[in-house]
Amino acid sequence: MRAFAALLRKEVFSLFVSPYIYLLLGTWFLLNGLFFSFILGYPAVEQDLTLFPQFLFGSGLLVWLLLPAFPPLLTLKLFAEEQRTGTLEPLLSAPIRDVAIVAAKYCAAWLFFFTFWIGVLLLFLLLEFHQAPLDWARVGGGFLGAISASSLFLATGLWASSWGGNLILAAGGGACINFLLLFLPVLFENSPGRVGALAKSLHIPNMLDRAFAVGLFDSYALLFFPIMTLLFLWLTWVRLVSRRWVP
Amino acid sequence: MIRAEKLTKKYGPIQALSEVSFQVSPGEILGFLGPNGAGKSTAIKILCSYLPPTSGHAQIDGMDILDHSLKARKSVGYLPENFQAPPELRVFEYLQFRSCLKGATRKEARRNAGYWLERLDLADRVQQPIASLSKGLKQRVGLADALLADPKALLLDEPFGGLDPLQRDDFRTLLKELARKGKAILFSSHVLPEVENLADRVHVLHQGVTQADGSLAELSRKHQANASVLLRVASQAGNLLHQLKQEQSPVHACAIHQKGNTLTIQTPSFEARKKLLPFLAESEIELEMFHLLQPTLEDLFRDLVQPKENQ
Amino acid sequence: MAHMGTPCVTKVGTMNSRARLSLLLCLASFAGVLLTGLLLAFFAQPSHRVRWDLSNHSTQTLSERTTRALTALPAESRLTGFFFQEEEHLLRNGAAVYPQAFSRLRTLLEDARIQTGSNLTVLQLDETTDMIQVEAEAVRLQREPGEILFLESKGKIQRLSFPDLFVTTDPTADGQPARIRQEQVDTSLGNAATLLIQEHFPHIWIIQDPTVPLSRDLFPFLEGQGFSPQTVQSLPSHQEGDLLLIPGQWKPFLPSLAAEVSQWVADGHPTWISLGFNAPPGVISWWNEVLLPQGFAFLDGLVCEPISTSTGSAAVGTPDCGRLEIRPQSLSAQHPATRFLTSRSRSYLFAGVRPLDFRGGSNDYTRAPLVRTRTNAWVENPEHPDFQPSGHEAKGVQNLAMAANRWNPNGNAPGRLIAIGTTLLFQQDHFPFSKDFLAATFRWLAKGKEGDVGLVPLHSIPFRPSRKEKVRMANIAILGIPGFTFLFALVIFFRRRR
Repeated sequence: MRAFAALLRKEVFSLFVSPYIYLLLGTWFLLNGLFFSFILGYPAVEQDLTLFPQFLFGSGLLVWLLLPAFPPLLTLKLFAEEQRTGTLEPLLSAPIRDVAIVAAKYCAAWLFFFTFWIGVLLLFLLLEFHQAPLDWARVGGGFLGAISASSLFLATGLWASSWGGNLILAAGGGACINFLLLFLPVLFENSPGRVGALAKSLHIPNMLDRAFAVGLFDSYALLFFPIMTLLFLWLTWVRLVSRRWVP
Repeated sequence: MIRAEKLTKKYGPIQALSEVSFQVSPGEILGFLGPNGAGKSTAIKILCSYLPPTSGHAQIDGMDILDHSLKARKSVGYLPENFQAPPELRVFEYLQFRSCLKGATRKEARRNAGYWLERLDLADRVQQPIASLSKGLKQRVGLADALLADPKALLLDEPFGGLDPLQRDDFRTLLKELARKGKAILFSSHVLPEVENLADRVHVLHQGVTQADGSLAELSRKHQANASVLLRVASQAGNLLHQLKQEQSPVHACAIHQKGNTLTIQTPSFEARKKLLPFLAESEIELEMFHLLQPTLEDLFRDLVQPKENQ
Repeated sequence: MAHMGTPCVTKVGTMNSRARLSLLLCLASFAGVLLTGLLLAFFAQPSHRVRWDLSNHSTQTLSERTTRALTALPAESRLTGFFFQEEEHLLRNGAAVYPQAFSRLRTLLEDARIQTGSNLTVLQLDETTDMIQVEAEAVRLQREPGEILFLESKGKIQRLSFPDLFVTTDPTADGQPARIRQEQVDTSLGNAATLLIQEHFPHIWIIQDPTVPLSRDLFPFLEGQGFSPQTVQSLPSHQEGDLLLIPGQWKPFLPSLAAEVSQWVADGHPTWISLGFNAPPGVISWWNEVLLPQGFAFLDGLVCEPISTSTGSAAVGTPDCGRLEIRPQSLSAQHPATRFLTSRSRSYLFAGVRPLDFRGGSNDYTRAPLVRTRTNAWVENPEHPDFQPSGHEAKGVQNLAMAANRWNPNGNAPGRLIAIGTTLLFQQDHFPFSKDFLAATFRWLAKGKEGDVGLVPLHSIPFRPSRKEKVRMANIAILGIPGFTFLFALVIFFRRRR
């Protein structure tokens, strides 16, 4: 536990002192600010502000573009960058369990990504400051959905990062998985039979748009993201520990 | 303290280690020798649980590196070849983190980091980002990292790389001091004089196979192929060379080089050297100097490795 | 597998190490995926699934009634939604009608899919769907423009068009966009499902006076509510649950029909009778005679109320006084026909209303007013209207609709009857705003149950910041927050480099 805490502290610290990460964060805020302004100027949202969380968290570019693309850019630092610079070897030969390494790195990325969402929350506080009548259940639901989805995408990014020391592969691979997770169910949702049913049960945009962002908390959607996140963390651990399995 | 038994490691079709066995006792310094690709780093990586062996066993402080990997790793201080640390961290931050990683509390970690920074003459570098350190300084940070948890065994892969002569002296002194305190030290190096000066024993690897293991004296006795005799005569050096090449000469089969009045005889055996003096006395040639040259580690290394490379 | 963090050396046959590693990786990954799949499949089952609706008005899930009806549909039923913005007037002036409507529909259809499990296949088609598939479905379902939902089961189809689901106002010439006022997606969907599983639909026999024009949407509406409406000239043999509806009458019935109707009412079969303020006296007196056992009668006159002005004062002397705003508190909170409606925060519009009052009655019936005016109402003489309460006119609370039911109902003669003093509820202009009142009261008449149906107000929250505020928000969002972050990155860079 002490080793886990130490690694977690170090990873969080490393992220917080990295100018690269702040550039990422600034770009995230900039793009979200643009989306925010565009959506706010959309006539339908002017008519009914309750649509705003759905436009932002449900069906907008935040979900389709930023959410899958940004987490891998963050997580590439965690394994791939370490492997590339050669700092992974001292870490893996230190007295710390592999599962603690995966957990600490994931938690650090998650905590840092939380600041990404705090910036988006500021935009809503800005609305509140301007006496916008927000439906906070929808806003909260939207945030919960988006944070759940980003938790999953961070896990996929971490897995991609564990593939090796190639940063492009780590970021690109993670983003590819995320886009596949988003788009494949959409492509197959209207297919007949089991394929369609499977696509619907893995349909992340539906969960965000038709549950979280309308203030509806669905036990399946609430469990879907943690379970999928654990799957990708498991795959990361398997990848990490497998180097010890077969000589 | 460090014990390896028939360690074998294969990378696909490549045999990196083949049934390598050795042990390092507390207070002992073992020099790991071998040309590039001999398997030195592989063996060290196996010992610090970074890589698994294909077969064989290894123990650190009585803990099997496979069955009790975590405990074994706790007993090891490891300095990898080309040590790297997160560039965004400062020296003190890094050592503090590493100390916590090895189980120290934050307070202990601060104390440990401070002590080793002082001890390794890095006290004025505590706030310097690791990315801005020279290779030699980085290597010292790496050594401090290896020593932080007061490990019982030290595994140092090419620790002298990037160090200037003064730093090497300091480093050597430190390692000897640590050995005196009972630590088992295994280090690999290409700098043969360093090994000669530092190691109590050497283990020579070539193409993953053990070529020799023992103290320098033992190895000198076992491997005398390069022992030579230096003769200097006042005159008639050519005559002496002729006589030494005669069939009755005990060294007639040896390689003899003449340079002016000096002859160097490569004696393959102790017996030949023993008979050489009476033979020279009988030759009635005035001998100005008779000097028996013991083989250096470099000679031994060359002797052990080169013929196989030529093969 | 070794416990976490402990390495283990594994040998699998004589395979080379790369193949062994790949195999082990695949096995471990497969195990993870399998476990994930099993967990998700378990939690996806409707019986293991819970949905908490925390939105402001808690209308993001289907009602229990609708869910029950949808779940009762036979296997391989289909619910197809076409989400295309087809009606131009609903798009004008930046209207939010379609985004709001489709958001509701998508959410509720998703809920239907989740709650019904594998029985119901839900298909949502929109601009992102393959147009060949959309076209094929439209042709198969013989879809007409404006039709949104299709519920199919065993070859039978229920179609729901936009007006069946949403009540909208039109855009105005001064730039106001169209707006959704109410919606009844849940009710309509539940009714459609009920109709598909129902074997017998109660009839509504309508005796229509040709001079009283009915809304063309009335019949589809009644069908959507699970009735089979039919215009008749004489009353056919009836079954349990059948209703008689007289949506206005200008001429006395022919003797044979009068006898049938009189007998129908006397037998205690469900009846709805509407007579407006201008119904002929002969018709009124005939009905008052018929309704004597029930214990109420239509009175003469036009019910009026002062109208509220924008300044807050009440105005009289204008024909608008004859248009009554019926607030929820004016509906009977005790009667099962209207109890459900009183919780809705919306008003109804009753116009041209004749008052009713208790008169006579037998002990066989209980009677209750369903709709009443406020205390400041009065009854205007329609022959000389001045739309002001004069000295000789009746004043105070007036009954606008009354209901009676038999104290001891027997079999198919429950004795339920509703009399209402206006006919405009069924006419084109007023009908869209009376749907839930009609649905609730018809349901009570037919089944004696609460009218758990109807329109739900859709609350819009407009937000129109000034231009200055918009610019300030955009500046903070686009320049302020990101700029501060970039600045912070620079500070960190220089501080850490030092």
